[in-house]
Amino acid sequence: MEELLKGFTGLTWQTGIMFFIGGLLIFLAIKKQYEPMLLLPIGFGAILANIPHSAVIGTAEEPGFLKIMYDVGITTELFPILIFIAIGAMVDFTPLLKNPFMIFFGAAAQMGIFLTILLAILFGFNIFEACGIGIIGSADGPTSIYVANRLAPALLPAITVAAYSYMALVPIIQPPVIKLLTTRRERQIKMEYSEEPAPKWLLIIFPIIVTLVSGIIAPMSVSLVGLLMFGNLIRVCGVLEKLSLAAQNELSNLVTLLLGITIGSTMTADSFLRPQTLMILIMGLLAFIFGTAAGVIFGKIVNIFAKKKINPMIGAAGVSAFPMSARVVQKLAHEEDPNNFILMQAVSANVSGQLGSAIAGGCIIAIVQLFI
Amino acid sequence: MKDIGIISSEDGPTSIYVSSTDENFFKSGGIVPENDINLEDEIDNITEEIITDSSIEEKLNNKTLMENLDAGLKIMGIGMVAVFIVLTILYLVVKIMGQFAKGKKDEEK
Repeated sequence: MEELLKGFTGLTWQTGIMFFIGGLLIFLAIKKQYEPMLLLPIGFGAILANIPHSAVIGTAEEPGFLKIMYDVGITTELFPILIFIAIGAMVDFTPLLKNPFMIFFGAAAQMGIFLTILLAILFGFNIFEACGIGIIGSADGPTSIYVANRLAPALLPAITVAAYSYMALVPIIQPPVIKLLTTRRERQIKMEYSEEPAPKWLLIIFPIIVTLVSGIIAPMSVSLVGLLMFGNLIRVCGVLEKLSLAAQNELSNLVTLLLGITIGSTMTADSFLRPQTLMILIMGLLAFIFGTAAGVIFGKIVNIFAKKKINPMIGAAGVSAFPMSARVVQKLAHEEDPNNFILMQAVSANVSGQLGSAIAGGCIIAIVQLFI
Repeated sequence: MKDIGIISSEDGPTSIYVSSTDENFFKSGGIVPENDINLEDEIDNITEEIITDSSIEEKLNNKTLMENLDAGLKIMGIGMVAVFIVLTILYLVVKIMGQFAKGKKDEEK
């Protein structure tokens, strides 16, 4: 009898709150369509994990399904890396190859990561945890999971939820920051763009060179950048269409599904209902704001020296949230001047943001080891 | 053998799940051959990992705020320089390749 009732007797107010949080994530995914592919599985995973004596979590001796998935996919970093192959297969670097200068916006916006690291240290987190929290500023889910899992595994659930939630909220977070830092005149700046396609050999050689350069300078970034570029090479080579489509669809969908529910399963009441979670959510928001501001300010600095003026809003697309940031920038440009089209330039900055965040993630993992 | 009854559920995955919880199933199936695992080595490895992890954690938590801030500033400096260096090299490479592609195109014309 006791065995049959242990589900009821194990219920606490903490598990009740976690059921509510799981339900809230599912609500946001379905009703508001905030990153539904991730937030729904995360929400459901949280519910599964908080059922008392849940068989999906199991015990140390007899791990359940989701614990096994966690050990296989998250601890080994397999899931985020597989997602990188899928993202690589989805990204078109053509706009970046036509506007190579935009690559610097992908670097500037990474400042958000480093400013948040300092902030987290001031909040009392140790240097590893601070780096795990700071990576939320990359606005890149898989990179956040990859880095946080290495440096701050205990904070992984909160970091993941913050990263994906704020990525979904980019259209709400970025516009006020951009408007605050730019004048109407700056937002109206038009930029030239040629419709000429990039040569195929250039598209093929680009992922190989990126892998070599970033890999030799920052070997720790190879897992992220290398697999991102592998996915892209499959896309552009022209002879692996089936594999490219499989990476873009089946691989992406399957791994996203497993990644979401597995991350959700780590949101147990004892690990999630802590003051640190609230602090991480606040710092995650600030990380997005810092990244956006750093990109815009970099655009303004460039304009001091540039002959051809750049619309500084492009800098905001230097964060990795693809393609939301680019869309936000275009929307703001369109609001100021219906004839202003800077979408392709924003996309260039946005894809370089993906590169930048993966490189920054690798660099942080390598550098932080020096400070143990 | 109590789990044989689950066959009557006529549900493959459920039958496998329930029957796999029977200890005898694993023993008879020989899924984990005992000879393949040296328990002493395993325990040594786990102990070593725990000691290493806890000592790192201890070191990290013993640092003062100023030490952490100093480390954070250095990470920011080195990190941003590293990201800019990698992307500058990529910019130069793309620029050169772009010029090459342009030259090739002009030549074809």
